Amino acid sequence: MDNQTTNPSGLITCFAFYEIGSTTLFFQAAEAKQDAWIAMTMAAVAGFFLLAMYIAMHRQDPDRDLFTLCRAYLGNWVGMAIGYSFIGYFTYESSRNLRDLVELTSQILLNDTPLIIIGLITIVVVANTARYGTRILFLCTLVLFPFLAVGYILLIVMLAGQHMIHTENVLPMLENGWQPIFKAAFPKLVSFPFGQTVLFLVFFPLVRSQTPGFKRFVYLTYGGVSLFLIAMNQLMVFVLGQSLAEKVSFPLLESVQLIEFSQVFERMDILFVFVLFLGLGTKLAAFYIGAATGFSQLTRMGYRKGVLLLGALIFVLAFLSPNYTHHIWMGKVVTYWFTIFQIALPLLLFLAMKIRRG
Amino acid sequence: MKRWSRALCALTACCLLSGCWDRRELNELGITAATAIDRSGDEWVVTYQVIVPSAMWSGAGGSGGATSSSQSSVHVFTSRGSTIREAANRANLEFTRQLYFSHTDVLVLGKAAAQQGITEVLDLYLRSFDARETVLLTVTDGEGSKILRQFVPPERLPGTAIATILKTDQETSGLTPTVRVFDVARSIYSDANAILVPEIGIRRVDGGDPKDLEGVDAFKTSIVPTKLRLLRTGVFKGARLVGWIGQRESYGINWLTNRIKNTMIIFPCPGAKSDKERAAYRVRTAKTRVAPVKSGQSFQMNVRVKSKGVLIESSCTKSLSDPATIAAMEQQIEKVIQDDIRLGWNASQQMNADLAGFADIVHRKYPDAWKQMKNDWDQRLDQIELNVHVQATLENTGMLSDTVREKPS
Repeated sequence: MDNQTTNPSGLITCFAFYEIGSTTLFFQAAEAKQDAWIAMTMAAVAGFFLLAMYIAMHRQDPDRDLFTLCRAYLGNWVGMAIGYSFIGYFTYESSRNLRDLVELTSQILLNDTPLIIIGLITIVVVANTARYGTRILFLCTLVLFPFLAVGYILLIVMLAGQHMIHTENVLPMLENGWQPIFKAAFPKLVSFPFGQTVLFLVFFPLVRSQTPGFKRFVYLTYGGVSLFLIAMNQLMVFVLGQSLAEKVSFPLLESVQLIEFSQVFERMDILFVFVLFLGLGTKLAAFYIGAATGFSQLTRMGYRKGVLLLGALIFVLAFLSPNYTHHIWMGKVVTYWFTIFQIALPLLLFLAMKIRRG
Repeated sequence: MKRWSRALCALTACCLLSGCWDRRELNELGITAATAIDRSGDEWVVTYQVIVPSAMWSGAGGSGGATSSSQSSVHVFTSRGSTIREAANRANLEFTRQLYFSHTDVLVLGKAAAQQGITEVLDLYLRSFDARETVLLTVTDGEGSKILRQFVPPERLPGTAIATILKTDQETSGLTPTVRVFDVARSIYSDANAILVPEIGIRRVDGGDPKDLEGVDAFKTSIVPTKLRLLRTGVFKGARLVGWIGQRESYGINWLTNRIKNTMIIFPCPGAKSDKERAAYRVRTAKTRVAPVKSGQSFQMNVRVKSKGVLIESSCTKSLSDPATIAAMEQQIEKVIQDDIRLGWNASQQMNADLAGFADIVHRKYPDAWKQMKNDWDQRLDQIELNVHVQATLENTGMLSDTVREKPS
């Protein structure tokens, strides 16, 4: 693996890419209905504090990544155990993204192709990216980011151009009080997508993060991306109304399918698939690389061997769920467990670092 | 070793990139231009209007060749089943191609199916990926299959022609609403829970035989004995057809729900001495806002309409170069729009259906009051008071600054 430090710009783009990821695939905070944006905002703020904690940890010991931090501050054996659990977490997250991507492809583009084949092709392509390591992932996102941005901008412009965005759908506010909003935001929304920044504890040491303004830039990116995600999520309510947004499998796709722009731009589904492929693929690769980095450190096995092994594991894990409904249901269950990796363990490590350093 | 692996990669790529699983050949697909769904007994009767590609090739410009007049450009057939999909599946017992619904332009509902409820249709369209929910919906007072057998000369594809008629009407006159399957789906999840769907029917011209438009002979004459035509508007409550309202009423509802983009208004001249003195006003832009105000146990709806347009026809006696005349004309236009809106709303009240979508507006502004009223909202419609305020602007009088008339003797 290439351990050279790189420019922060790659990391920042990757960060933005990763946070956008597959969030727009579903209607987040469906329990909060038209108040989804409030739930999203609260979760984003909570996620911001988590991110601040991660960055503080990195600042304190800028040369160590998540796995070495664990071993250095929590003792070799405990650190190893926690390190392995993080690898497990990253691998599972990666496999969930793979399954999402496979299901999306199967339901929209290739109805008759077996899921296994789509999964196999995807994991081979992503494994190839992972083989080159983090630096290449960063460069990839730098190249692909404009496409992602243009894709989303086109979607928004076309929806707005057809007067399909009914902003009045946000009313009435707080119809059912604060309770459903809190329920939607904590811990589910914090865990996905905002808390997932924990992965970047693996990547921060790779960049020259001591450059002035790095911290501010990460925060700004986080803020911008969060605003974007809140807006996109609310867009589904604006276009479909909250009842339909809740019921449709892919609300953004449903909205996009309604586009009939001056009888030329119809069926912009492919644009939706395009931006989600980019997002899902990047997220999949980022988790994959995070897991592989830890794996090669902890087992002292070669990085590329680890990539191969984890690739196989991700592939198998992705097909644990027998059907899509189970996959979605599982996703809701595991988010509660993910808080262990996003909040509990990092907090433990953070406290340990504070105490050790005095 | 390296060369081997490369060769292997290339070979795998060849296998994978050809995409053999989801191959779909164009000449194996039966592309449907229109679908009709009827109900007979316990069965769904689905009729398809499938494009015949070979008949479409010749004379794309419409001038046609020998083939175009001898071969029908569409093929219409029917299949039955206990579910809509079963019917579609059984179609392949008698039809050579796999039916392909992505390019369907219009869906015609038979009266029996519409009255029984179309939740199954909505489910199908939202669930399946190839059937688009942007398909336009019409309802007919009879069997939908009959509508599909009619040609709409000079267009070669009747289904597409119906869709074009609907769209053109929406854009130029706004007499009937243009409704997509998606709009009905959204309506059944909305608070108002009511929507208008245009009716399409066959109108006889001078006692012609309705069968005459069914064959390719329809293209051979310049005057056709029967025509497909938009007639009344069907009122859907939830997913069920509950009644019909006339064109004027649905036009009023269109005003009320801000669906008017472009339309024409005929109004009596200011100070007109006879019915002959009339003028026409073309609306270029229009905007309607509705704001509810709670009054006691009911609501007052403040409707504010703004429209801008030009004069396109006049037989008025007063001088058009006088600003006072223009102001008076604007008042007349305002009155006509107001009357239309009231007519529409009265029809809505009589049907006990919230066609104006007031429920959603009230729900947004008065969520607490809505909670108490939502169970018997349709009964409360009678108590709603409409307070219509129209502001019409006549921007110019066209190429004439006065009305053409004979010299006074």
